[in-house]
Amino acid sequence: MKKILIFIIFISFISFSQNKQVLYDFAGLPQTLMLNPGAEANFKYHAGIPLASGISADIGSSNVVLSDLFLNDNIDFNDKISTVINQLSERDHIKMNAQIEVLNAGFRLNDKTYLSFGFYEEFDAIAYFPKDIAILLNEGNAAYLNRSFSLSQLVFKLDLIGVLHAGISRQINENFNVGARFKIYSGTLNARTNNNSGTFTTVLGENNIYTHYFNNVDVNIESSGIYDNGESIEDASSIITNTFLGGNLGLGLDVGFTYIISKQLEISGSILDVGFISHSNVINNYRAKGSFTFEGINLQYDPTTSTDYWEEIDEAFEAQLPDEENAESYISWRPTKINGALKYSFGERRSRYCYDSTYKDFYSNSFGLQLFTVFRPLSPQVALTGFYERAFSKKLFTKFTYTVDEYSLHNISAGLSAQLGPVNIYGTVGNLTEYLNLAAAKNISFQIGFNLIFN
Amino acid sequence: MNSIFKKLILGLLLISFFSCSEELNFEQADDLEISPIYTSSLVYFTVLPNNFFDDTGVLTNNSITDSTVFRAFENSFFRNNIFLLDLNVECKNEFSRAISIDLEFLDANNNQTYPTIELDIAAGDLDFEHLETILIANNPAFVNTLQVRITTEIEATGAPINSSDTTEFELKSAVTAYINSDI
Repeated sequence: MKKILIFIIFISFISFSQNKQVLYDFAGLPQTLMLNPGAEANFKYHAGIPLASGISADIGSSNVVLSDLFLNDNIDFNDKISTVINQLSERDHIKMNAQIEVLNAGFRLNDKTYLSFGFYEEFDAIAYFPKDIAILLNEGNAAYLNRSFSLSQLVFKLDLIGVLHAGISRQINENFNVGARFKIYSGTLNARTNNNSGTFTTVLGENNIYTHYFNNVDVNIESSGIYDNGESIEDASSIITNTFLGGNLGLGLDVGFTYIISKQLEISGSILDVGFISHSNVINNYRAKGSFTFEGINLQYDPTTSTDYWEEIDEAFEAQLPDEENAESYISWRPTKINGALKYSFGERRSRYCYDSTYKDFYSNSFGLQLFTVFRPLSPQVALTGFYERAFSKKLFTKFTYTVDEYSLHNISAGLSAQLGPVNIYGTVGNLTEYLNLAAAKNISFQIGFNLIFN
Repeated sequence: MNSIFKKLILGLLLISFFSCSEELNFEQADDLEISPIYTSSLVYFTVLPNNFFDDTGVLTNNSITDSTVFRAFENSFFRNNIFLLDLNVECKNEFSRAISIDLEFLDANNNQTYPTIELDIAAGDLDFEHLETILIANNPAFVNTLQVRITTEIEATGAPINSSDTTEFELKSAVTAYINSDI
């Protein structure tokens, strides 16, 4: 139970949507179409190895690492908890994202058009640290007279979805490629709360020693697929069924482009997951709204009336700060992501055999900048990446990135893609330096996959 | 292929496959405890001379009693994890006679869960304070408290008091609960 709680607390601080800075526009991989549907696809058709064409994970914490809590250092664990609570702010969070491509395939419709489609599973979650609530639970209110404990710090979102998608990449002219991907989301599990408000404050009172204020409380927690008639769903078969279009459905769209400014200079960009999920299946929501002031129990000493003071206060609380559970459907917006990149190529010119029996020139080296933004509950999160990509041959590509984001100012990542006949293997590792000590890592990520690519 | 890059790639692969970690001990989570201290107002009241005297100034009832249900210990978290409780009482006696207070804590069968707390507030004492510290280990029945009864008694004889007098006797109280829970 404690380990679960610790895990929840750890998770309760977390993210959506991994920044796949290495994979973006890397080595002409089919998976680049998932990050930019307007990327160029220089092959006839491709098929990802089912369940193995794209496996990725990303976990990060903005201001706490495993060793802060679990290092074997003989420091009292509860002292560590207190230290961590004090060092975190309400903007700190933990993120977790995992994605598995169940199916990914594509084929060339004509010289200018490439179609791709597939299905993937994604889990992502983010929770910000509700510092005031943590202090209230861990230390109580006695030492904090006049402090307003804020309920607005309660912010989290968790999603488990299946995504069926189909995309098109089309060459408009020699220099301009555009693309779009249509997505059908099937939400299996969702829980979220955001835009909460309200404070709890204890002050020295007038009529009694203390007065307690619940001011402008408005807390709304929504969930689907988790609780059914008050019971948590633990039946794996129903969860799996919901994943495959049996659950809460939604629609989404990715769009992107690649524009070749000159032979050596290229700009590209994409907007991903502009979409929503309508949650109407197995809904369990909680809402509390109102204000309440408590001064204690005011004895009346009225011999003519027998008063149930406790019940009166209970009723007043229910009337002024009512809470309820409901099963009203709701809409959740997908965390939209924006990618942008400027790439300059140089060095040795090579030719690559293309789908149309022609050869396409490319440079063996390139460098540039990428910008990634994901819209999170509290604010957009931005990552700026500088990259260097090198092709050692027509079959072997590497890419190195240096990313600055809120988790790290020195995130060095690397990727490798190798083609052995039609078999393509790729892998990327994020935050390489943190692998030297995973216990102290704020953010680690990787992607790996196997494809069959035919030219 | 450039040998530097070969080495670099090999190095990166090695880092990926042979990553390191300081020694961690997740069993520490078993030691997790929370020890919050919560404070809350409890009961309060104000009585006037007319609570004790009739219109002619005759003392009709020198002892009055009121009580309230107290369900805080029905919450299993409080019931099972409280180990100490401070009861703070503050009184302001503007009367020209002394007041005595009996504070009783009763269970569902009206049995006392704690010895009666007797407070004597002298006439004109405006800053009376009392702190009662209740160690649950020594008073395990206290968590069965379901009712708080307060008897307020005015001194039967003494300086004359007019029933229409606006002098007041005030009582305020609060509890501070010390919790220790291994969750």
